[in-house]
Amino acid sequence: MPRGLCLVRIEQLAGVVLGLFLLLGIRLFQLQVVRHDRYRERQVRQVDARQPLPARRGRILDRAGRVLALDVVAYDVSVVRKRVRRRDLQELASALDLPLASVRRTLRAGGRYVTLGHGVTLTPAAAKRLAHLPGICLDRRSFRQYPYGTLAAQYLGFTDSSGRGAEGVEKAFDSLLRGTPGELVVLSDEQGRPIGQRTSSEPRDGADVRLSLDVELQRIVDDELLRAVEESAARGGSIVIVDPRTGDLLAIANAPAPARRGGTYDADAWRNRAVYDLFEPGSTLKPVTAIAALRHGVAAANTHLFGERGAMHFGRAAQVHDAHREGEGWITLAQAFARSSNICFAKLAEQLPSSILYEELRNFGFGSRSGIDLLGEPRGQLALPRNWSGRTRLTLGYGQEIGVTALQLVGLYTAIANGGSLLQPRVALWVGEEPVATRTLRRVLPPDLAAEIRRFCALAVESGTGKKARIEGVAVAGKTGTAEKAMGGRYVDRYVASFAGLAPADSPRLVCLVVLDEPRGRYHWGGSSAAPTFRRVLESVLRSTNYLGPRAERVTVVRGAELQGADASFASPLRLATLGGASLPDLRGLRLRVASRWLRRMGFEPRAEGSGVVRAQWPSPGERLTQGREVRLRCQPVRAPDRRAAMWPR
Amino acid sequence: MRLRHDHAILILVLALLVVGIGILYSASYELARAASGDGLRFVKRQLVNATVGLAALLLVSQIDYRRWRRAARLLLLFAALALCVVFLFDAVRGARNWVPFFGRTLQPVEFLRVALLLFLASEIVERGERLRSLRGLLPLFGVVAALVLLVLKQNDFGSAMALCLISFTLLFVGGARWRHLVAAAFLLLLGAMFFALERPHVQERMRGFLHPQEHARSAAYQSLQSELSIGSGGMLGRGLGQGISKFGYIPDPHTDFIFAVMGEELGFVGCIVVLLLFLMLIARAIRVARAQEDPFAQLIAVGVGVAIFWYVVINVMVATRLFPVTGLPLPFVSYGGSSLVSHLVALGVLRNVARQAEQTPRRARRWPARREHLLEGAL
Repeated sequence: MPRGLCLVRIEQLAGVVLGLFLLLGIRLFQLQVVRHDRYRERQVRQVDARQPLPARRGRILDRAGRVLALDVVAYDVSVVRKRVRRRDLQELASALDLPLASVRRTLRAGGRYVTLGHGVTLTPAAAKRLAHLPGICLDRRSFRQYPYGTLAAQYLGFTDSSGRGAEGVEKAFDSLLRGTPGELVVLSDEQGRPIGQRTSSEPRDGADVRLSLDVELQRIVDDELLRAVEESAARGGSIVIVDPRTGDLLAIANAPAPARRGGTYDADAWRNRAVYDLFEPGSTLKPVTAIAALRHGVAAANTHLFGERGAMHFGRAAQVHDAHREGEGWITLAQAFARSSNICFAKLAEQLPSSILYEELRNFGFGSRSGIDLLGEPRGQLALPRNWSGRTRLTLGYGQEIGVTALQLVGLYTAIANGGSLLQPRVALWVGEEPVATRTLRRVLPPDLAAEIRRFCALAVESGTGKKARIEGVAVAGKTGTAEKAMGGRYVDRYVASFAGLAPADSPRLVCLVVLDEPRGRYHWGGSSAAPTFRRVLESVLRSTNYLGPRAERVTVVRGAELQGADASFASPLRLATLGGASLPDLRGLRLRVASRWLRRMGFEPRAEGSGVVRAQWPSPGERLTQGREVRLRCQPVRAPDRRAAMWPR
Repeated sequence: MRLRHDHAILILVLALLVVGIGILYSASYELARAASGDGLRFVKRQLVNATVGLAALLLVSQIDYRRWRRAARLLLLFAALALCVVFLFDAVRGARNWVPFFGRTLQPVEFLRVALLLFLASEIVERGERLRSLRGLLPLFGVVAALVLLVLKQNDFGSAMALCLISFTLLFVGGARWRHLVAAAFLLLLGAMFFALERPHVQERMRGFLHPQEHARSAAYQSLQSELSIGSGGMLGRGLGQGISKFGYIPDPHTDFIFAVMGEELGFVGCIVVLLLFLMLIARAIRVARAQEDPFAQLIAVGVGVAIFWYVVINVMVATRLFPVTGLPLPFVSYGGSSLVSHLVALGVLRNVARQAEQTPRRARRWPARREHLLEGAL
């Protein structure tokens, strides 16, 4: 037997073994103990996938709770062509509401991954079933829908592609509507597939905003504004209705208006003119001069003023004409107001110190924001007295050389109507669970003075320039305005026609302002275009709502679903007058074919413009008509409720 | 009472197997489920492997180790032939180092390791003093070099390196001269460099090792992820089964990088315990060698221990990014039948050696007893 191996080398080997194990131990200590925090943090960063849980955006409701805007869950439906099974195509097609052949065609034409439908609404059960079929991908997303389409579109605004409010109410109340998104932190494997959940925070849905807007009134003003703008060939216009007791903004219409939501963005059509556009109001501003004169004892209601027969030179400063060629002789202040004598009001303004006239205008909120809950409202233009020319004071007396918004002008009449309180326009009645109180900015008039001005306004409708605003059944008061537009520093032959009215005259429940921009020809007078529009609005309000006393009994509500062939997919309920009387039913929302049949049966003659669904009608619903009269129906092609409205602008 | 070596070896191996199966269960479950639907697929197979391996261990430990001396050359020849068989199946894919075997696969290189170990032990004993001359040493170098080239031909760089290290250790313990060993190591390094020049993937791994941050998404991905996984385990780990890295972040969590899963789930304490189990096993092997008189027995004991040692060290160094990525399994823990069975068979031989040592009366042979030998060795 040999004597065995060299033990030294075995010991040396043992040393190497020990040494290397020690090295491993040290390395492990370094990694797992010393640097542990760093590695753990890096690993967390690597494996945590944060998924936002979107919050549902709050709805926008009208004052009666009708939904004006809401989030709808919809899906983008796509197909991986290789993986989808032939037999699932039928189900897919029926879920998408497409013919099977067209689905096949799309698939044949497309690449490996074909998107068959954007923003498809599915029932939860159908969505679940489809999602489990091989090769079919559903991408869930929220779409903003506006059941009333373009109703008050410029006021409501829209959301952008990321679901944030981009304009109007959507933007102004965005932080409340948006809610707080939650977050789900999941562990994910190397391919990003989830393997476990770490933490999550629930999303908090956005609050519903209940507006002071009334869909009924809004539809009336939408229709009547459209009609007025068409008749007078005006460039544009606005109608605003406010409740003078609360400052509630009941309706706000602007023309031109976008034809539909989700089209290309036309800044002109989407501008809320009533809030953002400045114009010289003309005679509709005369109440301020009258108030200043009455308040400071320059004149009383029965003070006689000489109208100078229509033209007057105020020194070198200016020459003032009355609008009506024959002019006025000796008339009282009330008559001067009713007949809108510029000369008399220039005379009054001349007698008032500049600072008093200025303070009075500021008092009524001109030159400062109305405080409406919309973003970017202008202050208006009102120069400081020290910058006035000699002419400015005179022209301010009848409402020129000042830039106001329709909303500011409505504020003036609201104060006159409610006995002297200047109110902040109230946009929202409720935000979530919180009621929004009416905010009185300040008292600007003593009640008796307000009543005096209301009498002036009533006189204007009774026997002055506003005769065409008179309506049967309710006394209204109001003031016309025909302002010359200034362009490039001089007044040109273009006008802004306006009418501001209160109804009923003695204790007003509504203040309505009609402004038409550049009406043509004989319509350029406030008394001949804006006043009749006001009348038609108020007549419709009287007929079909309760604002001016109980609703006229001849109109009964018939739901659209009770009509055969009605377009039930359109979200708005339909009203129809009873068939017994000769009053005109509300045909809006019906298909043209159906509406025409109804009209003929009732003995009216339909005259259609366009095709599809009736969007506006003249005369307006509820109007009493003689048999055989022609009824204009303005129609638009049927569109499915626009699913992509929320993806604005494309 | 002292624990007998052969019993201690059995206990340590069983402990390592239990830990190994546990880790394997955690590391391979998701992988197996994703691949075949049966999450326990790898665990079940490894249990079969362990059973076969333990049976082989017990069987082999009954065979007198001296009989291996005569069979060693034949065994090596057989193993080398088996290795060549791989090339028959090499037609389809480039890198393949296994052959089909009764529906399973076999890695001949693992068995080659055992055969080479026995062969070298017997040859060293055969040569005795002649090992100290170049003439005695060169044929052995030649055999080793030929086998290593064969293994390299299969792109199995890790196994080739392990074979070299084991051979060198055996020759070192067997008494080869330092200068011969150093010269051979130098030649080997030169050869390795040529080899690396030829194989782009080897170069890539080297670059990944030297400049990990520049190759974090490519060549260094595996080792950085493994390091991250071990580091994130901390002192006590996330707990068995609670690891995250095995979900696709570390490649091969059930084989070559199983230590990374272990580091994450069992933490520093768990890793140290497992490393201590290995150390105790290797220490037992060295103690068996020291207790033996017969140089063949000594060499076998050292060889078996050293084989485990190099595999463990290289595997853990790769996992902790102390060494470039080489695909070596962690003995008894990584999934793989050939590796497990071959190591268990080798331990069977060791147990027989240990038992023989128990039977011969112990002589008092303490460390300074052969001082003259020490001097000789140093010269």
